[in-house]
Amino acid sequence: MKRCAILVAGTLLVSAGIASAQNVNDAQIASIVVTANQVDIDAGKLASSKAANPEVKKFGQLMVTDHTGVNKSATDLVKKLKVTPEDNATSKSIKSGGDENLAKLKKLRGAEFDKAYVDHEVEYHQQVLDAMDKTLIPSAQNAELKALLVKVRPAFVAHLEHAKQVQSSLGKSK
Amino acid sequence: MRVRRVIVGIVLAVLTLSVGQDAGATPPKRRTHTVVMEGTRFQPETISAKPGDTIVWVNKDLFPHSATSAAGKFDSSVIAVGASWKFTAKTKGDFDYTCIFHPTMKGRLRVQ
Ligand SMILES: [Cu+2]
Repeated sequence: MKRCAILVAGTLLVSAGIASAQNVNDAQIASIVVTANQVDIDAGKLASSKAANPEVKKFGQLMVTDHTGVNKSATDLVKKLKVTPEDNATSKSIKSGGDENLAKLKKLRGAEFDKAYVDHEVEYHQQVLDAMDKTLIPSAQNAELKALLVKVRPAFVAHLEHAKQVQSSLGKSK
Repeated sequence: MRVRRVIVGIVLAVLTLSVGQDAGATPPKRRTHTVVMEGTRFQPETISAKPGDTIVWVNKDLFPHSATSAAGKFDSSVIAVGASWKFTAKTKGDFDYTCIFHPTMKGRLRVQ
C-alpha cells in the first residue's frame, strides 16, 4: 500500500511538472485560438486570389470560410465569458510564423506558389492539432471553452487530410 | 320488404365504408430521419429509411456543409450554419454521399 501511494505521488509530481511547463490560462488559450485561425484566414485569402491550380484555390477559399466560422464562435464565446485574450509566447510564435509564410508566398507564383502554400497548410494543421492535444484541450479550465476546442478539433483533422490529398494531387500532376 | 331493403342498404353501406376505411387505415407510415452535421462529420454516418421517408440534414457545425450524392441524385448545395435541408427518399438502394466542401465527410443513405 505504501509503495503504491508513493508511486501515485510520484506520477502526480511528474504530470504536474509537465502541466506547469506548458501552463496556459484560458485568456492565453483564447489568444492562441484566435491567432491560429486568423493566420490561416490570411494565407487562405492570398491563395484564393493567387493560386494557379483550381483545387488549391478552392482549398484556400475553404480555409477562409471555415476558420472565419470557427473564429466567430471563439470570439462570441470569449465575449460571453468576459475573457480578454492575452498574448503569450505561443500566440506570438504563431503570428510570426504566419507573417513569415505570407512574406515567402508573396514572392512565389504559379506551381511554386501552390506547392509552398499547400505544404505549409499540411504543416500548420498538424502543428495546431498537436498544440490542441498536448496543451490547449488539457489546460482549458472553463468547460465551454474546452467544449469549443473539442468541437473544433475534427475540422483541423479534416483540413489536414484534405490538404494532404491536394498535396499528393499536386505531386502527381507534375 | 321495405325494411329488409333498408337493412340490406345499411349493411352494404357499412361494408363499403369499412372496406374504404381498411384501405385508408394502412397508409405507408412516412417517417422523418435526422442527420446532424457536426464536428465535420455526418451523424449518424449511415441513415436507413423507407421509400417515402424524409431525411433532414441539420448543420450544427461552425461552417457550411452540403449533402451531395451523384448515385442518389440529391444535392443540398450549401447548408449554412444553423440551416437544414430535406430530401424525400424515392428509390431503394444504398447511396453514398459526401460534402462538396469537405471530401473527408462521408455518409450513406440506405433506402430499403
Ligand atoms: Cu462539409
